[in-house]
Amino acid sequence: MEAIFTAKTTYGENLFYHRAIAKKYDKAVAKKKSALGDLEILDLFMSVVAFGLYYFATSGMDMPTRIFQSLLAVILFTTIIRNLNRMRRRSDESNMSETALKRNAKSDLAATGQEGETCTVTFGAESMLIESPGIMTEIRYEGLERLKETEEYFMLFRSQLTIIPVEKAGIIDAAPEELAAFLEEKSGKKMEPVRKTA
Amino acid sequence: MGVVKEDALFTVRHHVTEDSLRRLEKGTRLLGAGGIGRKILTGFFVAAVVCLVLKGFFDGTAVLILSAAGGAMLLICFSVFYGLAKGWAESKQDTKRKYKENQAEYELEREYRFHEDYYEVESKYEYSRLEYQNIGRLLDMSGMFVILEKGDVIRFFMKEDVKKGDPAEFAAFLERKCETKMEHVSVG
Repeated sequence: MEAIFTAKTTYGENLFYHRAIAKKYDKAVAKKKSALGDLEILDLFMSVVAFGLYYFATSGMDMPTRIFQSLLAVILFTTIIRNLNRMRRRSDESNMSETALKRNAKSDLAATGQEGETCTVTFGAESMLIESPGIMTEIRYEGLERLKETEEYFMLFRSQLTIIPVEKAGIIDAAPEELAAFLEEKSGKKMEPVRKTA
Repeated sequence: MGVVKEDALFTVRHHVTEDSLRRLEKGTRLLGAGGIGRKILTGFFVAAVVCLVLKGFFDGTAVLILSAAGGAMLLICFSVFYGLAKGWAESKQDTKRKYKENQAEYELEREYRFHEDYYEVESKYEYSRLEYQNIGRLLDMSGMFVILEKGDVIRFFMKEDVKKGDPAEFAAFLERKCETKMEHVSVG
């Protein structure tokens, strides 16, 4: 393959953070927060069931004590469910804060086992070649679904699942704008800048 | 893509279906779920039932204590069970959404060719050549092979998708090449 552009990308926390923000702000529809806070309608229905369950279990007690304790049980139930809901929401990248994304980038990097590795991307006329230790991948430009640009990287989306990062500082003998124009022309897709405040 | 195709020892041809994606999600969840948690939950439930049955044989303060203890344990079981069931339902919906969002990508037919020293993955837009040292884990999820590669890449296909070679021999071949044992996960 004759190289038109070449870029070297090093796997580090910064790359994973930029990949996460490119994915995060890619989501067109942000999830609306429920009017009930961290609880949902079904949770409220289940809290009534929890009341009934506790009320049934304490059948040997007098009525006011049963009702009082059942209400306490409902409070305990909603507290547990609210915390479980919160934990689930926090694990969704689209709802994560910048700090959480940075924290996640560290663990994501560790999970890949690629820390410090360098990958070389060679851009040819019809396809691009990605080479890293023990892996060689060739991708045709028409297979690129979206092109995204963060401050430091171009994120080439093969799909929502496969993203090829290209470090702007690692582009050899060319300006990032030249590579962006080339990719737009070859893939027929527009380079979309990622705005953190979107 | 200008690739010289050598004769492979094993060939796999497949595309991702919603069913296989669901199986993967379920298998991954089962892999992460600890048996200890299930035992604790069962223990709480049994203790709650025992308390509620025993209160029938006592009266006075003992009834109050057994009722409150039984009720509290039943409530904890109910909360945890409901929380887990909700999580499972959400992940099922997530899988459905993920499949719809990436349907075009999933429906692309892929061919895997396994050679003595490397393996290849080819689809309409992509060709990869990888060394076996990139494989970190091998899983068999009730008839579905899952290959976990370095770089957080997951490849999965059914045993029936092995078009050249015997699936059992293929599993042994992978274990030998990756120097790792195939982990078995039972997905109902």
